[in-house]
Amino acid sequence: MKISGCVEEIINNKNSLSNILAEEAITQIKKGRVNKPNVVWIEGTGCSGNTISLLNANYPDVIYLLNNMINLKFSNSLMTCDGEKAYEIFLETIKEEFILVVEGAISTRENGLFNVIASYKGKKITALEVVKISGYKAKHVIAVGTCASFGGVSKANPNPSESKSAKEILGRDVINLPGCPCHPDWIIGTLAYLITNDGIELDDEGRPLLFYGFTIHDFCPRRTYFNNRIFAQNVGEPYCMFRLGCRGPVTRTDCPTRRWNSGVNWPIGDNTPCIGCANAYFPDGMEPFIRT
Amino acid sequence: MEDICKLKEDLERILERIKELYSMEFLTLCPLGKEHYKNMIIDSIDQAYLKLEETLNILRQNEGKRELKEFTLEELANFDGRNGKPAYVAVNGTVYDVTLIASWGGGSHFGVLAGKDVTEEYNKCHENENKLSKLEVVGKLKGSNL
Repeated sequence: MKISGCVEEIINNKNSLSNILAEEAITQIKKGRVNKPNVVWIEGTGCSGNTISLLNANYPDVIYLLNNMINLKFSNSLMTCDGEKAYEIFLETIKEEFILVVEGAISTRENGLFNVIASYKGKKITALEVVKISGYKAKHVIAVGTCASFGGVSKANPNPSESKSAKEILGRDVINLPGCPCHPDWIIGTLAYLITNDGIELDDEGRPLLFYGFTIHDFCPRRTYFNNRIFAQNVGEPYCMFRLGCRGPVTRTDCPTRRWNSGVNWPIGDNTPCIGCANAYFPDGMEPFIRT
Repeated sequence: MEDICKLKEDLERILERIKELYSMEFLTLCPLGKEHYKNMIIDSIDQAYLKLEETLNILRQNEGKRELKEFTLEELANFDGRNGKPAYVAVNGTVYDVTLIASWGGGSHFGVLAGKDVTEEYNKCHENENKLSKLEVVGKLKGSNL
């Protein structure tokens, strides 16, 4: 899909885009043209915020996703199995074709021992090991959230756990879905697109153009205030917050049109500047979040 | 400078005249009168065009001669982009205005704050890029050899 195509998709469909993609994927699955993909969701050094965000999906919701679109074989937080049995399912799954989803950065200190995610036959299994053994075999690797995509909060200075992004660990093509947390529509939309297509068009930082093709500034409802140089002096004023340190001009997401919490609101709509949570330099490079 | 002031007065006078003529053209009921005022408006616009051309010529001649304001580091520190103040940074002795540059929201840029000499940071991150030509020069740093 070309960029001009993306413009049309985003402007015309706004927050229903992921639903359209999901419906298309499910139709293809029902017709037997494609199979429901196995998905392995690994949580590394993070806060599980992306899992929580996924559970907040509503268009389509997460039950619909799990029942109709994907076989979520392994997820630290969501699967019912635990202990060695859960890890055995992971080992079985990676023998077949699967999509790997990485949430959180990967701690590399002490050979990954700062982030142990399983215990198998008396051995501690680290997130680093799990990502390495599954990452090279996976059909696609999706890094969900800023930590997995670029290191994010986990990699912030002084980075005591020596965390790295999924791409730094694997050195292969990774689809980055940054955001702190990642919007559920971006996750479901990307999964749906990958079910019906061989790949997805990415920008130079590995982000799908479908969701990350524009800066927040491009579609900001307060853009006319910026153009007319009417700036807020303090947080809470209904004008452009660029002079307060808004990172909208350097952050690529579709937050202004998609919005959060089922499309209810988003940071600028709630009178706080964008802090650039989907930016590759978040959080160190985006500070100070508010400058008055 | 005196020339510019005289040109400014002339332009203001012509603008007033055009406004009057527009009113006259609107109020008159005679078609010939309307045509007459329209012609007068066009004449006035021609006059304004010549004055504008003259103004631009003078500005172009003085472009290279403009004296750059000198900033000490203490003075520069005032322009940090906070509380509605402009955001200036110094690179290699030249002071640039970054107030409305997209990546300088609130006078901060990927952890670098405005109101300082940021030569070191600039060379570290943009060594082989020419980012400075797009910025407006507002002065030079005191003591620099520019």
